[in-house]
Amino acid sequence: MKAYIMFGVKSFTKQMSYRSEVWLRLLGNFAVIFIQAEIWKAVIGSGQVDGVSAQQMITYSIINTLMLALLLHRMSSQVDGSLKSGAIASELTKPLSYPLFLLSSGLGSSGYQLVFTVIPSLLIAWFAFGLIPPASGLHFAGFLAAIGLALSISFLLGYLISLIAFWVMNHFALDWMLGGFITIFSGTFLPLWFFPEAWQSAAGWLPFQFLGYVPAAVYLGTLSVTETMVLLVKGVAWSAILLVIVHKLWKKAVRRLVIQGG
Amino acid sequence: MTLRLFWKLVRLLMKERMEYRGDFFLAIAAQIISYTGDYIIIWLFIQKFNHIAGWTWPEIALLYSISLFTYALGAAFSFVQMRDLEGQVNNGTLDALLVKPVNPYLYLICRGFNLGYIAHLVVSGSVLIWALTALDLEWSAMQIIYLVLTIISGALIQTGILTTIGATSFIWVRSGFLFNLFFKIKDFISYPLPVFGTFIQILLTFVIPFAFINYYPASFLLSRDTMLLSDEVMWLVPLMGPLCCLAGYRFWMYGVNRYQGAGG
Amino acid sequence: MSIIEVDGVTKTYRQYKRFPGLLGSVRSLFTRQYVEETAVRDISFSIGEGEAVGYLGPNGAGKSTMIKMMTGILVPTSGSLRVLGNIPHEKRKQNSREMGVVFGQRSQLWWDLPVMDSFDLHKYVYRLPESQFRSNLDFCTELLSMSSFMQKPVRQLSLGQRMRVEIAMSLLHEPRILFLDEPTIGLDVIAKDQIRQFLRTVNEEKKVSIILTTHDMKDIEAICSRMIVVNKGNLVYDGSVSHLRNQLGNEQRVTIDFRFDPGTIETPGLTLIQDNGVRKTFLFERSHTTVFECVSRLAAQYPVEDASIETEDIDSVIRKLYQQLDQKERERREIG
Repeated sequence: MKAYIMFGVKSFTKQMSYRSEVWLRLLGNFAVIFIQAEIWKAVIGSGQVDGVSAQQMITYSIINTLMLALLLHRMSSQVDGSLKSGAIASELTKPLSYPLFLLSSGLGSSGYQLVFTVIPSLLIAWFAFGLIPPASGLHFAGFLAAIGLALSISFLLGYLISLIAFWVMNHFALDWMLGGFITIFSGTFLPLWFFPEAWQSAAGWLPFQFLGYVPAAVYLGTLSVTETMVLLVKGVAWSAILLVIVHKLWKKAVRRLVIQGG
Repeated sequence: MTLRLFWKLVRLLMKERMEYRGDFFLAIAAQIISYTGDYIIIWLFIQKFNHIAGWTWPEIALLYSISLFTYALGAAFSFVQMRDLEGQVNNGTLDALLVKPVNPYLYLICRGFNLGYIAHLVVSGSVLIWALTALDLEWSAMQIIYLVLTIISGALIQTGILTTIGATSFIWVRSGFLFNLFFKIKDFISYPLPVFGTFIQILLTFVIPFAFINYYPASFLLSRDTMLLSDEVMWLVPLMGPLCCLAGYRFWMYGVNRYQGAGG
Repeated sequence: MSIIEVDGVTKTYRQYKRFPGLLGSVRSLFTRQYVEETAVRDISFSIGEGEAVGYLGPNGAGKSTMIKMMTGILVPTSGSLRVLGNIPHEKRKQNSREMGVVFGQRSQLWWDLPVMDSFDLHKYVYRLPESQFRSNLDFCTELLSMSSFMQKPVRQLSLGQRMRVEIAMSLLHEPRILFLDEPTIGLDVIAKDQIRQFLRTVNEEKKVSIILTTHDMKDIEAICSRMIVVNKGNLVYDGSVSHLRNQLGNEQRVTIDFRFDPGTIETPGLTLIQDNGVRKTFLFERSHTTVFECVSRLAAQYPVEDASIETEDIDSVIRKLYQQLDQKERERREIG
């Protein structure tokens, strides 16, 4: 356990060298939230659409924009790098679990983002655009659980991509594809409740909604308590399914590495 | 930098890509999926709200397609080259460029000419053509020339801005996140600018000329009034590209000079 | 006629200071400080047409910086520098047609394409007439035995093969000067030998001036008659290889086999460093007598069976030079 914490700390401190970019990150987040806020104000105005106000949508955008900085699905280039350089061999010979190693370094850099980007951005956005408080204490608890699910599902999806790249050897293309699906089905920009019926049910069946729509919707309380519970259980189920898939794939990947020598 | 050398480079780049053609086509497919996703989300949005600031789906599609199409043209000559400049400066591979009897900027952008942007061009080009037919515009020769010129100009604006950002790696050593910021700011022009109020329009007209890439040309083609530019100056819009590109080039050469330690 | 004139050249870099620790990182969000570092300090030399010069010094001595200034990549902070009569960075393009530059590990080759394609592109970049390109390529292909891998993609080449390609490429436009930054680093003995031999041929037959940086003294011995040694930005030696050896390599190792152990031997000029009974090894320091005199004097007094004299190799000469420099600096610091 201590070793994994060390990896997390290491990647946290590694991010420190990017610190001159903190200002630019804050500016970038501000721009993204600003764009979305203005669009929602333009289309919803002072009234409501489907019972949702512009102010609620702004909070929705803030949560989604900032959560994107915390998600863990971008490790495929790291895995690909050590796969191509052969460093994976030394990483595998360490008495550690490789996925946990990836997870802890991912969490380390997310922790950095949380402290240096997300919290300052949140304060700025709160000040500039206003932020609605969570619907209730219970909803806030649900929101925290949903963030946990977002982290775990984003990690598993990223890891899945990295593993597929053992065969396809083009993590870049896989990343683009994943990105495309996330854009459409995560609800990061357009919440699922504004989707047409058919698209809504498709998105409901996929795991991507947990990366954006679910945490924000739970926070805002636009879902009933039972709906929330069902969604969270669904999220746990998705985590479990992905976990089984990556576990099987990982075993195959290691065998492939051993046979082909990397 | 001669045209002959450029064609030689393009032939070699194509040959290089075809060494890994499976990879290449997979990447193209992936990018098509990704950009289709971007279109779908805007389409879904307009399905719900019918318009953004009075702009309907085909109009928004035109606006967004000009942005993406010109980005692809411009970025093919600049994005990866400029993004990787930071690394080249750090590990010294840039030096090899400076001992060749060629203009280092032209050689760098042509050596890195990126065929991968064909995916962007396919997606945005087809939506662009669809939008133009769906809009049922009356086409005169002048308008067609105007559209072609603004597309070239838009590509040059994008190249100019990316070049400027790349040049900062000569000065600050790190430029990576500026590219990230570029994409975030570029997102403004995915939508009609009046949505964002006066300040942003002034900013994107006079400070970072993003509005000239698609908003002004599209407004003029669609006969929509804009707040800052009147119809009479529409022919000035295509001049913005060459201007921007020249400014970017000058700044880049200034950066190289600084890197060499020649004052500055 | 000299083709390179370096006169009082200094190069300083500016480096940003990093603040350590978490608090430091917050601090560096708001402030920036830099320190100046001198990579090359007031160096002067001149190199004549057709010379082959080894430029050496320990890591961080400012070798690469000097090469970069001579090739027009970097501009000196002060001092004057002329290559082929021009200020290098001002006449960069013009000079580059007359120069070949090989940057050791930093390849410009097309990784996934056959070697021939990289050569082919070079023809376009330098706008070489086909006949000139052909004959130069044939010359290099033969002497560097490259024909076996000409059609192989660069990524499949060994390091030695790749370096041969880089060197050949730098000569296709018939440069008058060839700059090489650590051309043999990481290569095996055979590859090193082949490259050395080739460079010597190019220098002697094609009269190409060569300036090379290296850590390997054998490169210098095989190719260069002159060497310039730098340390911490300063020029510390400029002259022939043999002269440096005479200046510093004044130690010789004398091993003498006796018929039987003569016991303790007292001979002026010889210091015993190893005693194996009948085989004794002495260190001879050159002074007013020669090593032969010493040995013959010894042979007259003791039952000498055999004697061998070993000259110090150039590596240890250089090592000694560096040690002396370090020593001097330490003394200076202690005094100051």
